[in-house]
Amino acid sequence: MLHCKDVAEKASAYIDNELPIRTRLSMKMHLFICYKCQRYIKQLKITILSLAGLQNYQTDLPSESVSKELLDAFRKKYNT
Amino acid sequence: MVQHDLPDDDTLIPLLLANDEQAFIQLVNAYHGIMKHVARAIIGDSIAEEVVQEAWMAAIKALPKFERRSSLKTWILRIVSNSAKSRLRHEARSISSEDPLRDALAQSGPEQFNSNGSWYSNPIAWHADTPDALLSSDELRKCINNALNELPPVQQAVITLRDTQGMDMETICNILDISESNSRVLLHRARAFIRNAIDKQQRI
Repeated sequence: MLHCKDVAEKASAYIDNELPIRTRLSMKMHLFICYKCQRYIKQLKITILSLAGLQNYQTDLPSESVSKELLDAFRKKYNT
Repeated sequence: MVQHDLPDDDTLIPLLLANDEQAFIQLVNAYHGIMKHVARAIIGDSIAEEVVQEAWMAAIKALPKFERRSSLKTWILRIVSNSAKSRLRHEARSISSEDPLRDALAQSGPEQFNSNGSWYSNPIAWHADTPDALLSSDELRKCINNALNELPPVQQAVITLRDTQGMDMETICNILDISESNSRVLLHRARAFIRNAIDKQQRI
């Protein structure tokens, strides 16, 4: 029988569908009776999907001087 | 700031080769951040920015010879990875005494359990419980971003490349030079850490 601790540790692998079939079934059995772990798995899924949505917001842009330097190098190379 | 969508490789590469400056600026803005994640994961924070700039110069030079056996993104990330690794070899331990991978693996997950393996503090229901609800709240988005920034560099790189950028694990392991099994552990730790940060915010 899996404990909640084991379920939490394998949660990512479960969500990514990477567990061997036996472990996957044990997870499903546990989740069937444990609302706490159900909640945990659901929240981890929401976390992962939110990270995917973050792509539209994420920005670690180069500084202005670096941008300029790179653009100069680009010009030099491709300006014919 | 919302990032403008980068055209796909078939459109983008000819534009670059034809000296389209707008396309180049878009490319730099889209990839500079993830390149820095990769550099930081391999050599630490102090010279990451320098390595990324070096990699850009190399990419500008090599683009006409790019054979498209991978996506442009993967190709550029490999260049950063190689620059970072070669810097690491040349400067050996003199750059930093941090070992990002060791630090990341030593950290344990944020969840706590009783000695019988049950939850120490039960997961509570979230009021914002869809990705849209999470991302449309400024506080929660900020909270996710802050949590990402707090992660050790290797975990930060793995979770960003995997969950934000949607890259496959094999490519990620290859770029970051880590084993498949380590990468799985790091990915889970990072996800659990972010979930925990969101959870704390939702309990306020």
